[in-house]
Amino acid sequence: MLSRHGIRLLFQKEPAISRPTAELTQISQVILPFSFATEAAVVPAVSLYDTVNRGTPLAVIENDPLATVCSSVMGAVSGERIIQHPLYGTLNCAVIDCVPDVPAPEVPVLLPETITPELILETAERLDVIDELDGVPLILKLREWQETGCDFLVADGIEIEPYSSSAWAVLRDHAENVLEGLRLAALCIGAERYHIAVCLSGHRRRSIALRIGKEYLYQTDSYYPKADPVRYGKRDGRGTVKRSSRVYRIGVQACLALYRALYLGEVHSRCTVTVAGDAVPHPQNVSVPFGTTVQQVLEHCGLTEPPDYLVLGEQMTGTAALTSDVPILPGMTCILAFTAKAIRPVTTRTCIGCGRCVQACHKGLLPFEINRRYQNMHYERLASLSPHLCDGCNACSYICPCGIDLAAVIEEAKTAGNAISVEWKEDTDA
Amino acid sequence: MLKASPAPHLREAQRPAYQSFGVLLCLVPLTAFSCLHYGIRPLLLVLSGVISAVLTEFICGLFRHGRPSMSDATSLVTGGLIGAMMSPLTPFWVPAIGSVFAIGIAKMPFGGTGRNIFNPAAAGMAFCAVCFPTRLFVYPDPTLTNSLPLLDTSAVITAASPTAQLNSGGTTSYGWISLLSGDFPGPIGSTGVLILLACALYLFVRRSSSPLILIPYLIVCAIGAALFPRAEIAASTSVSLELCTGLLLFSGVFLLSDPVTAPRFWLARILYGVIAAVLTMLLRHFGRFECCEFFAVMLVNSFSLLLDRGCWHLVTWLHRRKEEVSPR
Repeated sequence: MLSRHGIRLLFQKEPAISRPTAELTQISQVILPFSFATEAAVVPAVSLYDTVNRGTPLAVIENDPLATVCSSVMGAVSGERIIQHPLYGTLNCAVIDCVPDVPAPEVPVLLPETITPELILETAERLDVIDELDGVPLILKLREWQETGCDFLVADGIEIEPYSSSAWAVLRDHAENVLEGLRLAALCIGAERYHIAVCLSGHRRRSIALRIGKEYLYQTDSYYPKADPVRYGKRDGRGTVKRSSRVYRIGVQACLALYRALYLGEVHSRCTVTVAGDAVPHPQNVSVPFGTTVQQVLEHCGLTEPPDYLVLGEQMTGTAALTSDVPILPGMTCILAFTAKAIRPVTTRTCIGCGRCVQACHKGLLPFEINRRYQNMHYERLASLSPHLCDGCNACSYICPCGIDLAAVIEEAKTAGNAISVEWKEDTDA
Repeated sequence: MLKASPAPHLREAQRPAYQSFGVLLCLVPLTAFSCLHYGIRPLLLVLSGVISAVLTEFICGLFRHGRPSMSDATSLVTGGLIGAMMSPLTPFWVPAIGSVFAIGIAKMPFGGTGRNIFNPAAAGMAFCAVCFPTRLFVYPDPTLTNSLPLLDTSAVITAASPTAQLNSGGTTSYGWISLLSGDFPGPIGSTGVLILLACALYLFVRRSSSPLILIPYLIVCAIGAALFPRAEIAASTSVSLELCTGLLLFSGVFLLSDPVTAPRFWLARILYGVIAAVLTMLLRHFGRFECCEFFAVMLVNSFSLLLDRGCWHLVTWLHRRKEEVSPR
């Protein structure tokens, strides 16, 4: 389909990105789901008052062993809770009271020359490495890419949305290890070429390039969204990514976790999240164990009063949460807290047909026309405008000067084509 | 108590009036340039159009919802554009009537801003051109006139505009310098050629108007003028006279690029500009009026939606075929 640039968003990454990443170690309690599987039979592997270590599986799932969640902390199971997670739905969770965990000294357990693709796969599965881009276990992706073949593997450190800077913080602190993790993943799937894609300002990019070599760093343009894989590596200095190239993405935190799993034998139990928004007194990137509640992280960043709006995820695609008592789980990299002053209710006006949504749509759709046909109930004519190609980036809703939530309309238009249409005929019974 | 909000949680702070204010800002130097030549009369003509348009929209709004809303400021733009397309000698009631027609007939009955098929300013001008042609196309001589009287303009020395001279098949004495400096008879907003070009650039930068319409429009008009001059003059003279005089440039910058009535898809925009140019040149050659660009705009407005849909389907189909031939 058509590919466009999209829109430019104003970066709001300061001051979080300029502050050092905080390590949240003194946590009283974490909440971890037994499993992310919704249909498989989940048998809890731990019971009340059991002691768990980091990496202890919390459940046994026969059909889907990869759906098992491991404990991210050392502690004792103090209860069981069912929570409504805004991103993951209903989850049956174990509540674990933490005990102070003394981190083990970093001793390499493997030498680089002894690593084989099979060992990488086995380690990624055993130590539960998860890709933060979508919360999917890395092993699933690596196996799939091994089968399909890969020309180019890209570590996604772009952070194109306004507030999130967790990938930048990880790269700032561990660029060498991220690159090594990426090299291992590329070795595993047989990708000939790999690099880290970023969208950094000059001095930040230069400081990372000095450490890992500029040939491994690719500066992308600053248009949102970054959906087309070709845009992750057009001019990498070592050939050009063609439209026919098989380009795959992996998160920088997953690269780091893979590195740590292979060289240090560490289970993937922590993630770095950006805490920002106008309601947060001390915005920063925080490294937390999985299962830490959002409330604990917000308190660490100086938030004493509850904000008016809490968003799990980024400004453009995040989900609003109605409670802060939800755990941080794999796939979450940003928490935003806003006051009512920042998020004003949008006054919706009639479409003035300015066409800015058409220019913003990176899929080349006609959002204004979909909206018009949907509002006029011409459901049978919606399918010809291909609303199913929309990936929900929300760029059209963001840019619309009339405040129309075009992305929501397109989402509804995807299924509206199946709406019952009544054909009026002459009444033959009369 | 936490509140729910849909994504995107923050939006761009731009409002519909942003584009309207850009156009209004462009009308200020154009009117001021005319005022330098003819005194305060051009300003009053523009104001007459604006006030009449705003009042008409207010009254129509009262009829429609009982709660008129003019926050998008499009009525100001319509009135201002109509005023700026008038001759400095036009009576004050002509732009007022044009604005009433534009808002009351061409815009509000279709559903107001964003739903009108034809550009209201072009429709208002077309109405005035058909009803009052003798009051619309009589221009004062800028070299002989200092300041026009407000009411009785019968004693003002008039001159034939370059467009009228070309229309009658005669030659004109206006060179590049007099055309660029605006020393020729013409409508209020169209003689400041350099200002118009600056306005076009400003609107492009603001993203209020698209170069994909104006540039093909001007190129095709120039080609048409070079190939088929209306008088026995050199091709370069024909191009300069056709592009700089009359309402050709003005309608390209303001009327054709109106976001409501112009297509939104890139290919449709290019074709829209080309069709508008062809129609303009045809009307200039075979039309009855010396300024006929607003008729061309109205004609091409009716193709806008068709062009959008047709071009989008064509480009999508071509991309699909390309992907089928060389799958990723």
